[in-house]
Amino acid sequence: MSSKKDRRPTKRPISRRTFLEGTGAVLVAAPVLQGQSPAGSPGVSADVSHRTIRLTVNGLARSIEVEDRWTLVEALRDHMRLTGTKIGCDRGECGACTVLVDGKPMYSCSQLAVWMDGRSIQTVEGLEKSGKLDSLQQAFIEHDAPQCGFCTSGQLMSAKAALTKNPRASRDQLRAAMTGNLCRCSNYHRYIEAASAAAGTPTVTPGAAFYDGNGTPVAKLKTVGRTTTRIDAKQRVTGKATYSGDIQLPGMLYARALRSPHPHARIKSIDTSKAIALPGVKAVITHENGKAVWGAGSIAGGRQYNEEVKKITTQKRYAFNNPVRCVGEPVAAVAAVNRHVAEEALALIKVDYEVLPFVMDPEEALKPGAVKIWPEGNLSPDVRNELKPITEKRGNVEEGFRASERIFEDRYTTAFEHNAQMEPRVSLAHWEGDKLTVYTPTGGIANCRNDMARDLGIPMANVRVVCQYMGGNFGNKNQNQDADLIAAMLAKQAGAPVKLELSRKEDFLGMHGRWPTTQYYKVGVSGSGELRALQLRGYSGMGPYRKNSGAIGGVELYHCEHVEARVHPVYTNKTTSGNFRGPEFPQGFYGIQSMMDDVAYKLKTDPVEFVRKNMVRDGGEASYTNYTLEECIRRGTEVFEWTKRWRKDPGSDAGPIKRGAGVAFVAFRAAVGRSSAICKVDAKGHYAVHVGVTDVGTGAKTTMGLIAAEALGVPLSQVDVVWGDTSSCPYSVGESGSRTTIMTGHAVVEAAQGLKKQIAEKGMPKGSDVWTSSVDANPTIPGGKVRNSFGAHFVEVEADTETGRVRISKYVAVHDSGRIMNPLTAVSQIRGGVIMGIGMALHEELRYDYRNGQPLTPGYYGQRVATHMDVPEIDVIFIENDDGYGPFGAKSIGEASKLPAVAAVANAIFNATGRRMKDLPIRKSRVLDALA
Amino acid sequence: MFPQTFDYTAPTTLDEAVKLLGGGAKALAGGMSLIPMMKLRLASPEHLVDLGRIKELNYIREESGALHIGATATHYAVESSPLVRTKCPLLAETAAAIGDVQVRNMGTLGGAVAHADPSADYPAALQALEAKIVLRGAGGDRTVSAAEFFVDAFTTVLNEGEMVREVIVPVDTSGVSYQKVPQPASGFAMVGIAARVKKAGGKVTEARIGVTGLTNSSFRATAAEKALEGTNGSAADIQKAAALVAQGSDANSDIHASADYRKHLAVVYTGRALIAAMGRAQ
Repeated sequence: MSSKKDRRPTKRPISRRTFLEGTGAVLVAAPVLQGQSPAGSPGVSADVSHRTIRLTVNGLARSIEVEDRWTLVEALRDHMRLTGTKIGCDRGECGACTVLVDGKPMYSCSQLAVWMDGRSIQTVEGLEKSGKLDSLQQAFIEHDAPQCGFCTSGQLMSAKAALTKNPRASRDQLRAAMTGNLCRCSNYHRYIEAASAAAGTPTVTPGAAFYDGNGTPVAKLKTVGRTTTRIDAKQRVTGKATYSGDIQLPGMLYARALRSPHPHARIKSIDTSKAIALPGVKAVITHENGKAVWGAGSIAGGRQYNEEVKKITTQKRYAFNNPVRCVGEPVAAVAAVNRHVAEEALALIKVDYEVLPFVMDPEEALKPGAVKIWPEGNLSPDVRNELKPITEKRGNVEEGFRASERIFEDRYTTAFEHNAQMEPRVSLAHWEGDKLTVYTPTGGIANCRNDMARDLGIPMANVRVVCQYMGGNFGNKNQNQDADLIAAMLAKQAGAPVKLELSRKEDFLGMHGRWPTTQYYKVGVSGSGELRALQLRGYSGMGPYRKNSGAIGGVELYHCEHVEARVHPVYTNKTTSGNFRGPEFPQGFYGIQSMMDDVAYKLKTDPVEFVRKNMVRDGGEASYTNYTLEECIRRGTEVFEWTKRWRKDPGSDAGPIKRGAGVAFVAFRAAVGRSSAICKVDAKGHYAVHVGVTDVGTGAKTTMGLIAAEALGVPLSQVDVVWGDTSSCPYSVGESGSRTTIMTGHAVVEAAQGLKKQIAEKGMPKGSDVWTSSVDANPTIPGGKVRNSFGAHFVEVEADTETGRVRISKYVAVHDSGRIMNPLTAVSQIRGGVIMGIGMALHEELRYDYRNGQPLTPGYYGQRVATHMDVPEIDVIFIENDDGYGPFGAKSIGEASKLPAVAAVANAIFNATGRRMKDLPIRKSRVLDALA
Repeated sequence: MFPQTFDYTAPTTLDEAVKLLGGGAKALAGGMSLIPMMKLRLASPEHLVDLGRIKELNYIREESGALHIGATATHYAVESSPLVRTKCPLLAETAAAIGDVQVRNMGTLGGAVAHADPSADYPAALQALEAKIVLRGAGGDRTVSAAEFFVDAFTTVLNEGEMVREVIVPVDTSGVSYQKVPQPASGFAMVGIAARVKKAGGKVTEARIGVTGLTNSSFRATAAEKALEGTNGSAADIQKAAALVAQGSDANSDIHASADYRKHLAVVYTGRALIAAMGRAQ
């Protein structure tokens, strides 16, 4: 090696690895973040090198003219209209574009179309034979393999190839064969279960167990609670589900956004003249001519940007801002006849920036003399526009500390992690006169519609929002996004429909992720280990806008007389933070439950005992509609065999592989609230339920169908679910906060009851009559009772003390989510949440270079989302209840499943190694450093 | 995003390809690195020569005690070839550890070797196997050793207009193992160790250790090899030898692993690879 030092290369091209993982200096310096492939307009451009190729696609011989620069996925999606193959990353990381070339799975985004000359391609559309599903597709449906469905085509093709090669492939072989296919819903178990079933070698996986809570049997129902495959599963496994990016409208233009390369800069001038002059360019907008306040982008005090808030807030976020306050903020956008022209035009826009100093860390940002991102300073104002931290107080914390026999203090930090849903952001806007239709990935069509009308200053009646399928959500996709405003403004200017697409990197930098936090705890306990006082001082890095609250959850988990939490949401020049699956909880639960676990060990107490002694209890801080925390912990302790797996003396295994166990618990809102539904019946006895859900992957369409069928007393097959279009669906709360089943589901029950009443009064409709029952429900719980879901997670890890690697060797997740509407999808939700939690604990972070404010890991590989190979077996246990609220007693699931996972893993690492891991993610090197 | 426009030629003979490369064109094999680089405009070749249609580049055969593998043999072909699996298992094992199925189906041995990514897997095995790499240019063939071929990160002895034609590895009967610490999502080696061990009469008669991912270029850990040779190959001997693997190396440092962590991993994984190889040695 050293002898060759004199031969330093003059030129170092960047490698696939380097840019895939996002470490490349060249990437960092790239001034323009551009959009994803493929070229849109049908047919080749005469002035671009092209040729005719002959190939077989799904068994059909075809001859097609292709530009030499086209990728295979571009040819398939745009020119053969086979949109079942998806683009998730467009750079060979995620596997959503996987197709079979001569029987072998390959990334179609990284193949040139010209290579396909003489070859045979199979896409998801080619799996079905003469209208009959492939047995693999059938297995995917039966085993609930697709959640959001965006990665499903790729998973299917990889599994298909593996099973063709070896029809009896083992579980491990299937995992290895499918590991190039990421699934952010983290439904990896289901994919492997489905593929194993198709192989005829299904292995028994630790599945789900259901117990009746509090000893009272939950009365069985006819439809609800029965294992039911998704009503749209067939669309999801055949490539027929139409996601927003799959839609093409006649005369549609393609848009790209130019984004800031600087973390903080004032735009002195923008020269768009050359871009406008480029033939094929139809619209160009910047902060000068594209002025729209994006209300949902900067919610004052973490509260929605309604008319009241609008009046007092001084910090407005526009679709285009000047100054720009983080790398990736949109600076200009172009609509053109095809994507190639749009990208060429971006390169012709000249922006003169005055580069400003920047600040990346929230605590630094609050110091005197720190760079001010807003004139008022960097503490984000609250909903009354006052510069105050989020404060929660109970009792007198100082008194509590005085009454404590022992006091403990510590600091924990958590990282920014991006939602990283599989479907990259896209928005298609179409004006017909003064009426706007937006096709966009949103879990809240009703809210998005409201937001578009508000931000564009047009009546809500003039806005229609459509989202039939969505490739994952995971938080704050319940409003409109700036992409929607930009697409709408471009479409208005161009007088044609405009589709704006974001690349994976733009999605990472231009959307949002979980806010990073720094948490300082002070805990006082009595001699017998009871909490006396609990204090949190926290800092949340919001990026330059307040897209969501920035709170840090967790102090409410404990029974304690004296509590004080002061959390500072702080502006920084990082990417904007926002909601991500349990917005403020996984990071707060990690901090506080690590802290409490540590206190337990210092008091020489079993952590489970410490939890039992100090956790929130019924009739303490609140009274609950039902309370099962004790039971969740008892049941979990038993099934997990806590006493066997837990090491009384942490780190005491001989090594190098050391085992240990950890516990964490959850109590999470399951409140009732406002939503709407419409139920109809016609003379043929066909029922329809109209609900404003998209079904972001949770199974909401199916759940709504089950609830309607149950409430109507008819089989599910007699009920059509109408979803995803504001022109046919009423208001819905939107798919966030784990509320859809509870709130929209309850509205469905009321609407169904109304319809039944009409039928009882008038009989069934005749001829062309249709009975309609429309309900805007807003139930409440009397007596001030709190409605929560509960749960506890138990984890065993193996820590390799030579390398720092942590492997999960046992996982038990116990949940009370009320009555389970559909065991099939409920189990998928829990496992997905757990895997995301493990990823947050061990891997995930959007990292920055603090010297230049540049993001280092904006992509799947960079953030290190979980793969097929990362997934442990997960036992799921439901403690079922019906507390009389929600539809048939349903409570929240989606977020609750992730919340305790991070802390449970961290606590298990402590038990295994004897080292308290105080910073997320718990990378291998951090474990090793702690052991050194 | 899209590649810039380029001219594309898919010759069917090696001579044609070499002629085009001589004219300044860029060779394209599996494209697993080049195509995404072109889409991100990190590479913008004006002329691409697709080697994929050249039959005389795609082969795996045995000739006089060695395996000859054509440049466009895919990782999958190397991994699954009965010939490679039985006669040079270290190379098959290494190929199977690359990326994921989609990458292995398209990526090629010649492409990976020519690209010389410091975290690529093959170079570790090629160093340990003392492989030879045959290069073809306008002036004909020349053969270099793996130790000579890899110069630095993304830098090899390939001249302008020259391409990798084939890789020659010995038929190998030693105990072998390839052990890597993958960047878990991409599969690239943060550190990869290829080990070969021969034993006779209870002594280690030959040890070869190829290292990738640790420094800018792959290398053979000769000090560690020497320390092991002549010993009984006990756990203590292995540990002593492994401790030398990163000594004096200018280890890479990036967001995935610091230099010190890489060095530490190299020592641990050399130990593990040697133990596995020793277990397989006669």
